[in-house]
Amino acid sequence: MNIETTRFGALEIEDSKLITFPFGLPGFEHLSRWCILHPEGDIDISWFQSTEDPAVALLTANPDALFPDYDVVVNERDLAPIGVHVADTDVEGPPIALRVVVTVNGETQELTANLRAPILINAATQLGLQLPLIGTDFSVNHPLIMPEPKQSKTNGHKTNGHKMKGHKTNGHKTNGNGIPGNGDSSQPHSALSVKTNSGMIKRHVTANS
Amino acid sequence: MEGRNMLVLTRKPGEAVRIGMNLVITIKEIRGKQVRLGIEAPPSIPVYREEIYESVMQSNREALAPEQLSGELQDLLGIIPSKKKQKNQEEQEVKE
Repeated sequence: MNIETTRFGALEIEDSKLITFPFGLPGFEHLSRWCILHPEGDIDISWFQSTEDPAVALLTANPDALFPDYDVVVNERDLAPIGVHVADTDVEGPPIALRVVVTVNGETQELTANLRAPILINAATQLGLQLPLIGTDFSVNHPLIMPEPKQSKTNGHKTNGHKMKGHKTNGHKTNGNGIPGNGDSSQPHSALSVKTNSGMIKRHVTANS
Repeated sequence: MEGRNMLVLTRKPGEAVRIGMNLVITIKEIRGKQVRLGIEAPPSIPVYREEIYESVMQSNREALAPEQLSGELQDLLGIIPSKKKQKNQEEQEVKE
């Protein structure tokens, strides 16, 4: 489909990049149709562009590489709106993509991520939900360090321009380019657990949304 | 919500209110300044704690990215492949 956007101009969007949010997003309840735009490059950051309001675009990131200790616990009923029904034996089930909304401070250009309310996407149904978590200390504005692009610039940009004070980088393995290694299975990963009547089920999280 | 036409009902523990056909809120317990509510709602009606939902609303509104990103961020995030495709298509159409 063809859409108009304020930021990117006219775009042709593949149907596979369209996501329906039955409840919209908090603050944008009236906008249920969104598309995912991946910038060029290796960083798993994408724009969520409303297909209904050209001016509304949110930046999102895959928390997997950026926040390795990010554990998301949801209730079974929370996933019903995106067509995920957790049967007790259905540990694998349809993969769910996890993304977090990133805020760019207009003045400082510093980045924060909303870990309090992750976006969950059922890739099979192309349905999405931004779910405010309960019983967690994750904040709506967790400091985020943007990984450096693989092709490093030589035009004098500060390489640590988006580093935030107080953010722990210890123990965070990178592949030398500042991007956490994806193939390293020993590295902790963000996880999604579903509370059901019969206990906790760990769900597979996919990088593909 | 406050200040708008708010319906105020008085209920005792164990009593409930029904909203619409399939939403029932029961007063489970009153302990000091806290009230425990039991909520029966279909999954199509999400239930959130209001202050958490509000903080996410505010965060999302703030996340509307500034029109101008810094040079570095613009380099990183401003280039969408499908945009270039679209441009090329337009150029082709003009040529044709």
